[in-house]
Amino acid sequence: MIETVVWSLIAIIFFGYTFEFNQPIEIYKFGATGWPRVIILLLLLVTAGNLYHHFKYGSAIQKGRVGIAETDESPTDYSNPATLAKIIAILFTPFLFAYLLKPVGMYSAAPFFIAAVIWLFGERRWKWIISITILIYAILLGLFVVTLNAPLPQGNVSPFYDFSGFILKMNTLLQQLW
Amino acid sequence: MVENFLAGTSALFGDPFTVAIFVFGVVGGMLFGAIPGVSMLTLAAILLPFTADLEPAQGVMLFAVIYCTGTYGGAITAILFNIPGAPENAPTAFDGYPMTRKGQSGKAVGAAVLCSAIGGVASALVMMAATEPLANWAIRNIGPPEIFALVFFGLAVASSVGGRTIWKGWMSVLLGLLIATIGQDPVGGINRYNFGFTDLAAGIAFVPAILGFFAVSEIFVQAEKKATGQFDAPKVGMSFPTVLELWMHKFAVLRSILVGFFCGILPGIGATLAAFMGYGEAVRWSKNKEEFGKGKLEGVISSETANNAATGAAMIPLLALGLPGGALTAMMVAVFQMHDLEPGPLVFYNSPDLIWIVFAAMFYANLSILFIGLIETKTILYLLKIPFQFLAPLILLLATIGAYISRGLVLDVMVMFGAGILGFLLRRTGYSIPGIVLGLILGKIGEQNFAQGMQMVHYDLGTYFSRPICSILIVAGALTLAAGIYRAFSPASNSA
Amino acid sequence: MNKLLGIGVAATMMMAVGGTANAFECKVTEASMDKPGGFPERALTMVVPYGPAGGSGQVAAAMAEGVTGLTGVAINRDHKPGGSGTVGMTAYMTSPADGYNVLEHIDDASSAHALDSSRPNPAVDLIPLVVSQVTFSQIYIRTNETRYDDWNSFVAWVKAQGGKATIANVSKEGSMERVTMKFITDATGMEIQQISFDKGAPRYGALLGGQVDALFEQPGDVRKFLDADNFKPILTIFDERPSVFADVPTHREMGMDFDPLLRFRGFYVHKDAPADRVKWLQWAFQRGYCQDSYQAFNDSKFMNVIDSYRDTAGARELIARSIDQYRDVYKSMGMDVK
Repeated sequence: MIETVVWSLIAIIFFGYTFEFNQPIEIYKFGATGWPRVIILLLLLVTAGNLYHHFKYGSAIQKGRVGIAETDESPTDYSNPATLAKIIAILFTPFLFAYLLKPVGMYSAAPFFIAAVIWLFGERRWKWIISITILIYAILLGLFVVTLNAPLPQGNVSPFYDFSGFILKMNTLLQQLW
Repeated sequence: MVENFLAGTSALFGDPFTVAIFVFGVVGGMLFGAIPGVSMLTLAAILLPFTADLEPAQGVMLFAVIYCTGTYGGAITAILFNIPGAPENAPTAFDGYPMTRKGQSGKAVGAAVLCSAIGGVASALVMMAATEPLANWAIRNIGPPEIFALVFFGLAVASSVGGRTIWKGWMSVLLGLLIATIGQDPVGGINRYNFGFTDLAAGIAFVPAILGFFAVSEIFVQAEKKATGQFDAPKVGMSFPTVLELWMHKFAVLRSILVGFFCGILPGIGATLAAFMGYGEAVRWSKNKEEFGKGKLEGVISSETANNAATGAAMIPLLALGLPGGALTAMMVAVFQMHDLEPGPLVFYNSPDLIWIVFAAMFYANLSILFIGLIETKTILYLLKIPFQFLAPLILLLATIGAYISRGLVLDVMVMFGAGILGFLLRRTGYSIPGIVLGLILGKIGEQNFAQGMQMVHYDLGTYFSRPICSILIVAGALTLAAGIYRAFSPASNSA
Repeated sequence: MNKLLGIGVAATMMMAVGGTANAFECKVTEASMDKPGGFPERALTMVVPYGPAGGSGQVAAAMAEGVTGLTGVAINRDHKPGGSGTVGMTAYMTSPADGYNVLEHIDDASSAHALDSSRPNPAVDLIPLVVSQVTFSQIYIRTNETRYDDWNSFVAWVKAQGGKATIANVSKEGSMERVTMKFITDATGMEIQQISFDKGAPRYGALLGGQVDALFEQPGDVRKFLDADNFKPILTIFDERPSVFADVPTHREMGMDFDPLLRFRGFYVHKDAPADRVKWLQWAFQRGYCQDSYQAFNDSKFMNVIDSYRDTAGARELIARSIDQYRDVYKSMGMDVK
């Protein structure tokens, strides 16, 4: 039931937004909204079908279905709030890292991100956390900056942008050596 | 043809620097394909500026080789980690990963090695023999209506794969299609669903979505298992398939070569649909449909043969007409242009040496999968021995670069991690993640070609169906959907 | 096949001769310039709001090669495609204005500002370093087309189809292509279905395979099809006949009285970047235009058929004129000009 509500909400929100761009296109009869509205309509229909199926047959796997994701795992125990907090931290730390890439840049954010992930995944030996962080950061700089000159996000806020500039200047000096 | 091929071979192996580039391409393509988090597209995007310093033949050959071996390399992570290296390897994970969990990873990887090589070599041979006539046929007979019809058929097949029920299969594909409408509409360039963010005008790219749904969500699942004490390192087995086992699947191989080649030849569709359709056709023709998705060797064979069979086919419209079929072949156009060359009809007359070096290199690259592939696979297997808390940040960082590099947008990194969270939450709910991804990939192509097709036939369905290839594909797709609807309501399909 | 090859080769030679007919004269005399305060001491970043394989990606690569060859300073190209160039432009405007970040952009930035003045004006909110490509559009048909073979017969045929004839272009709302097509259809009274292809390859494939009846494009983008004798131009949308296309009539000759909208690509820097750095960048990019490698590139793209070079002042004038032109057109089309 919750599932149906969520899907219906998605469909309603997306349908509501179609009015924001509902302008005709001179050379195309169906405009910018025709295609998304058909998809939304179909989505509502199959959501109703899914609800019908659930009431009639439950959540069992239909016969003849192929390529289904693993279902043999036992349900995860989230009764301990610490476990739940840890999972939430694991899920959202990368998202925070992504959010910070624009202002802070890859060069400044990456070491903290690497160390945070190692810690969140259960490593508590600080020497290991620091040495593996340095190793992964060195791989990042060696492969993508020195060898491949990949344009990674530099950030746009001082002092992070300045630090990115420093790394790139070092790279230029290094490249001038050969 | 044989003479030209031999001349290409001697030019390829006659110059040590060219050989070095060939080897770099073979190993680099496999590595970037096989390292979870990055793909051959990441390597290609980064290498593009450097090809200006190479000879034209070396630059184009490098990309062609990366294309062949990268397509194979992506199968290794699909099988071992449930992380397809590229979208075309997604169906390989359906049966490959269950095989790993059963301790049969060697058998799955062995089949991927052999079938990638067979599919690729067969496709390279056809490419050499038939590039010009096939390209000319395709360009005249396959237009937007046919491409839309093929997308429709492909989506109808995809919705029957992966979901716990047909309803969930359809919901997954439709969600992918809905996400694909974010960004500018393909006809008028009107912004849709940007929710006030300028970057969303660029739309949701499929590379970060794939990385998120497969690589990142798999890491989250492993992290959850570690946090709850359920972590179970994958079992590594290196027992390769026997000749008899592979011979038993000769028809699956042949069918996938045909499907892969046909899909690969069409601009914009490429190897991904080839793999899905190769897999879907294997299921359709099998007497033991129930075994698919639970670790059936034929699933790996069908998907891997088809995606490599598409690589040679994709070179046909590129070389003969200058029309790229996907992201990597589009980058090859840039390599040509950096050297003041244009892929297209005249390239066969102006630069035959280049063409035959590329053809020979693709042939040998596919062949080398057989030899280098197994050695490299063993190396990759060592990755499984690295403690997961150290491997995870490396994969997440590589995935960040992989997502960012092709469009230079932080949005793509956020989409990737968002898709990772969504994938993590959806895994146990019976929805089809590959279905969502295929909907996302084909949504844009489908809408654009539908609009163009409708404009071309002046919204007249009679004219639409008077195009034979188009009507066959639409009818096939409709029958697939009808069969699904029948099963959805049939008590026999729904009894436990 | 041999005959086709012969025609193709002959066409290539003729066009090559025509393409290089205009003697090139470099407008920047200083062959070198001191780096102000050591700037730049590291690689520049060039934001390109389009993908690497298209026209912008290619011109960015060619200019980067020219500037690096001249100065030894590497340029990392950061492609940010999407939203008809708005995504890359927005990202560029938030990057630090220290001279290390430069931008490639096309006339779409001008038309976007004309439609919505809250968007950056490339002539005012940025400093143009150089405009290095200026080109015109043409209408193409297949060389082996039997239903029509020149502009007049094409117009007559299109009118006979009652709106069912088709032409491939990039037909975003308010784009140069859409506006120009409106001028043409208004002037000729013909009704033709425009079909929008946002990527070049399928657009050219559609004409090549007979899926559409004509194509709207710039000559540099379809050069390979012209060289191969697959396509031929039947109308040039420019005030005079360029020598390379001496046998193709212009729109004015065909009775269409409108100012042609030009496609142009150039390079920019933030308006508040340090002045001495801007001066050095202007020298590097304007002199980079003169590099042999860049000139060879422009030749290969028919970009020396008309004068492609504009320095900062010339670029500002070109942009300001384009903005005025687009604004007038949009108003006359009843579009919502902000």
